Amino acid sequence: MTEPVFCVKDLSISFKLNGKWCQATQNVNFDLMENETLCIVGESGCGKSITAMSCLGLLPKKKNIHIEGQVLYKGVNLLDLTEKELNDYRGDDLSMIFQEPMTSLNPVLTVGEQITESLLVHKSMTKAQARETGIELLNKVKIPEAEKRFSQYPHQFSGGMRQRVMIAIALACKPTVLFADEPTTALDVTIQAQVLHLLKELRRETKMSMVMITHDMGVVASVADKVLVMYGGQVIENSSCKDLFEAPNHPYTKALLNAIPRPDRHIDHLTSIPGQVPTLAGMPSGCRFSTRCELVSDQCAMTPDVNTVAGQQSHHYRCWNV
Amino acid sequence: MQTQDEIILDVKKINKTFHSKKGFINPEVLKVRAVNDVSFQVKKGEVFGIVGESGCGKSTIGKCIMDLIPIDDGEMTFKGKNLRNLSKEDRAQVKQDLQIIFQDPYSSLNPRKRIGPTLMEPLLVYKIAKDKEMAEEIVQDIFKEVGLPEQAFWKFPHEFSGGQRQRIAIARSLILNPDLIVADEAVSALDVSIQAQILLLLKNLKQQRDLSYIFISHDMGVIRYFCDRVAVAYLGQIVEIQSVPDIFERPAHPYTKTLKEASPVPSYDPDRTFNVLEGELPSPSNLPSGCYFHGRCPKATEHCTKVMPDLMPYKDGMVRCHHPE
Repeated sequence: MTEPVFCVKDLSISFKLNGKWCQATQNVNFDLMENETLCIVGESGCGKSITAMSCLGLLPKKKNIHIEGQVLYKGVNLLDLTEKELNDYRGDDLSMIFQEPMTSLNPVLTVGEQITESLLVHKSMTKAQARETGIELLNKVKIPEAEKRFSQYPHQFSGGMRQRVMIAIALACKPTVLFADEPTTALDVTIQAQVLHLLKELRRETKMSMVMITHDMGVVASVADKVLVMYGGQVIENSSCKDLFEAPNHPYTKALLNAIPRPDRHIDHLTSIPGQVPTLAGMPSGCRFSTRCELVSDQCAMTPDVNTVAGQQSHHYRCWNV
Repeated sequence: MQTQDEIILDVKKINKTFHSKKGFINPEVLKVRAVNDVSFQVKKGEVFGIVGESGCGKSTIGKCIMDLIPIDDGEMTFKGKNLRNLSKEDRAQVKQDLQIIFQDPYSSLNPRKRIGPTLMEPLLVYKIAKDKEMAEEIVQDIFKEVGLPEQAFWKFPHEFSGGQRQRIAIARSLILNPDLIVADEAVSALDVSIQAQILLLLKNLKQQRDLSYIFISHDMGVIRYFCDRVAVAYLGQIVEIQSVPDIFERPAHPYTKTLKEASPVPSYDPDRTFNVLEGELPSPSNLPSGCYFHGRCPKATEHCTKVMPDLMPYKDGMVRCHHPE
């Protein structure tokens, strides 16, 4: 078996809120192979964005944040590195696309300056070379009139085009792993289809791996090879994309799939999940889904072990009662 | 049933153009036709959907109906009364019978006022409740109906989760016992599990109270689950109106088809391809000639680039296209 490119081991993140430690994620594990897309899916507050941010060392090193576990890239634990050492990886081998393209682009710099920044820093290109590569990138993400657009400012672009500019920035140095945090959530469906299509094409071309964070099961089904389903900071199910949609195991995954109104078929009855997503301060002990689960039993007061589905090596879930 | 066909709201050829200035020294006035010749009818007891992407004017249509944005011309008739020309008494009645739920309930609730008193206010203004005690009783009954705890009465908006705040917004829209509710992206900001709860609640309320809805959304899945008939909006125009089964099984307008095919489906399909539209969305202040969709349409001909198609009866609905399917 080949080695994974990127690896997260037992990642637990806690925040100190009002003098009390609250665990935002608990023992998150995943491996990412070359040219593979992993989707982390879950509702708000499940810890999916925090996981991605800690992978790039974006969480501030402060006394009220405690991070345990390992984030391994090429055998190096990124959590041990200083800010300066991390900058050698960020934007080069590892890069990230954020949800809101308007707030993550700098409004006072031209799009071109922002695309070429990482090329000048990491690849020691001359300005002329960087400009050429930058225009090439804009063409690649299908921005019309790339040469003219190169020297324009972000406000002159539409939402979908801004997100494509973000992708161009993230891909400038040909990263090995791309982290995409809800890259299409703020976009319209036809634009979303464009962006997902583009990401898929680029991935085929460059062989990069991708970690995509999303709350939309439809997006997961369109792009993922592997899926982590998170709830309340725990990975409650992880499997291949096919197994997750065809044979979901955890009661939460099942309930979630039944709660989605579908554009492709008529449904008479939508099943809702009672209650609310737990807050960071009010996390139930043991199984975190227990307060909303219909299969709940006494055992659920303890954190369930990770079980493997019989006959499906890479399909795991965390539940006592399946 | 005869009551099924009773028309509660009739919108005829309404228009709204916004003017904005661009530039400082020699400002250039930009005209944005947000609502362009829009007509539709809502039947009693029906959920009428309006679907479209951002900037298509769907929210503006909702606000025009509520008289939150004055229309330039056109006619709107609600329960037989002309909304543009109401007597004082009629206006008070219409204000009670027509209600709206917004997407973000947090910004539509007064953060410094407790929930109970916020909801009691219209009861006292319209003198439906004789005194505060009676108003409180009505509010508590509605809380029960929408699944809010009794204690919610004395809490502030920030003390609630997103789903509960949306329940408050629904409670507020129900308080005057309306006939028609405009729900503007009412479930779009919610997590899937909460979204399902709110959709079920709205569906129950509709049955119990014999309500009609105008349901504005960008999500084709939600539209398919919740609506009876739907209008598809594109750049301020309605391009298709059909029943929900027809619009999803046999979309007539190429844009409707694209919209449906671009909506991600939550099931595994290794052969899935993305239906990607060529071209960019035109700017609403600088619309193309002919059919607004021709630049992105796979079926466009030269005729489409010159002549704007009319919204014409087609099968059981209406479509605005020279080459409907």
